[in-house]
Amino acid sequence: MGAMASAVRLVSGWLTPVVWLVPPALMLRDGPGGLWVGLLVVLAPLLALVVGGARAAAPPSESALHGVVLVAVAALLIWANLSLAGDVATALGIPRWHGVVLAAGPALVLALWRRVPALSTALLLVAIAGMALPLARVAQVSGVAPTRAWQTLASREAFHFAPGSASVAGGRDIAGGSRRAPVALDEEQRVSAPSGGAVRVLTRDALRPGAQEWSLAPGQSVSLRPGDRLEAEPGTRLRFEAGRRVPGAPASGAAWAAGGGAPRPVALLALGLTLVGGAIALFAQPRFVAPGRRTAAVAGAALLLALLWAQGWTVYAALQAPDVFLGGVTLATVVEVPALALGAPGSPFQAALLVGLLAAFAAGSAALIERPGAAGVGGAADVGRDLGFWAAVFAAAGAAGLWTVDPWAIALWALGLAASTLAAGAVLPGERARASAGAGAIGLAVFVLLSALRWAGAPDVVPMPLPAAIAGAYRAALGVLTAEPVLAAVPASLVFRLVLGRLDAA
Amino acid sequence: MTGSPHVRSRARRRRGATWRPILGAVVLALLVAALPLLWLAPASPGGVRVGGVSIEWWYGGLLAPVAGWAVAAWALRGERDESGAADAPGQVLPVHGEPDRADAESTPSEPS
Repeated sequence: MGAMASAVRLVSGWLTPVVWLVPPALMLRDGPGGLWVGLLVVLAPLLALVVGGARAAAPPSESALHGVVLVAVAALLIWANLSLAGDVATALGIPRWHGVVLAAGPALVLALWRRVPALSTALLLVAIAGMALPLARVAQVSGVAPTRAWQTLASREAFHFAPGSASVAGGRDIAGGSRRAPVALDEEQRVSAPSGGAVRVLTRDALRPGAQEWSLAPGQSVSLRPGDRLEAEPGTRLRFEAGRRVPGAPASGAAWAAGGGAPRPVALLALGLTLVGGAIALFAQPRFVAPGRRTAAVAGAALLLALLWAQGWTVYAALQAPDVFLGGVTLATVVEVPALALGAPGSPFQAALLVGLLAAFAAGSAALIERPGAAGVGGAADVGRDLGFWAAVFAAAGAAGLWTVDPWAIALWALGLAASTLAAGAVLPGERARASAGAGAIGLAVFVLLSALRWAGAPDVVPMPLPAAIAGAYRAALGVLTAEPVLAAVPASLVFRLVLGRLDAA
Repeated sequence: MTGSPHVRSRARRRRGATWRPILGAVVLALLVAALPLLWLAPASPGGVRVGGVSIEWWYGGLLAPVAGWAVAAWALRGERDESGAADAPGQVLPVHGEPDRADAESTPSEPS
């Protein structure tokens, strides 16, 4: 029971819908490049569990500052998931606020229900079933055995619109959710708007960029040339020609399998530090997750299943629903796969997926709400029981979720904040809370300052007259650090933890 | 002073219990780091196909996760899974891994 409860806490707190869906989204977009996040999603929490095992006899000291940051991280992750719910609602053609309210209400009630452990296990099982059923159905309909699916995809010549696909038959909204970039066309294409709407075409004539806007009547179409980029008002459904290449899709299956260009080591390192540090911050606390062998066995099995699911979802989506690439893959388009792959008969499977995601969100919220209580500092222990407080958090996160913000960007910022503030205290042993709190404050300050500089656009500003070479290097370094604040905040926090720990010991 | 064989084996077990999670964490970190190293290596060995699937997919999609799972279970072999988990929000697990009474009594007699 203890191992199972701990494993459920770990898996549900980590695998909120945003984290469930990021690996398939990135694997669809980047091919093997997306595997990096998939591997991190499995191994980061296991690493956190093992770090927690190393600290089991002397759990990390967590201060009031840590408690406040943990509440903020939980609130940000709830916001990210509600923002995803809004994106999914838009992609499915219903108002954004419906999705936010439908996700927030049940999740808040279920998360604050008293009998959380048993309920979380049930919710997690519902989530797994809700994810697995549509995948099994799409795989069955595709007629491709799992053992040959990857090879079949990697040998596909191109990704074309199928005659009966949603983008050809009923049309799709290419501007929904967090999708902002125009759709770039690789070949000639006639696009029509079955219900009418305004479209904007960005052209390049004689090396000069230009833009044309059309207000299309219902059924009216516009011809586009290779190289044109298409934008539409949100809510405008556009119909594409069958047999044409899907704009935004890789050139071929081989191109997808080869990945999109050389990986950037700095970005890989930052993502690794964010996810590993975030997992350690949340789960390497033995008061929250008991780091035992059975916990690792159960949680590891669930995480492994999640990665296998993500790979299956990626491969079968690309095989059976290439429309998923249209205009670039987002988390919301990954949710549309059952509808795209199965059409109208797939609606029960689409519903099953949505129920699974709602269950995952409720279970995840329950775990995240409990985490500040494990900090064991004063009022933080009771914050998980405070219905009014968490209702206010859900209301604020829901209100923020009405704006279109990339859910993965919010989740990454939350995990980066957790890594910068809490990971040093969890990794480095020490009895005294002062060193841990001081290091957490330094990491928090560096992370927030660099993030604020990025939002303010300050990396381009050089504070004093400097020689051009030095000013250039300064801008480049600040550009990297403001884009990836964890690269500075986590090392700063670790160094201060070491120094303060030694001073305390002396 | 050498102490009894029983106390020596218990001390060895406790040292193992301390070092195993640290070693496990290092191995897990190496398993994670190997994937980008595969991409950054010259001549892109990750793209080579074995059984129709590229090495990077074999490694990142199956071998490393399974190995990581096994390593985590091995590293936590000496740790106990706490029973009596929280029943309500905000209620947290008691700290575990404390030496039990027999261990506490044997500690003073361990060789220094």
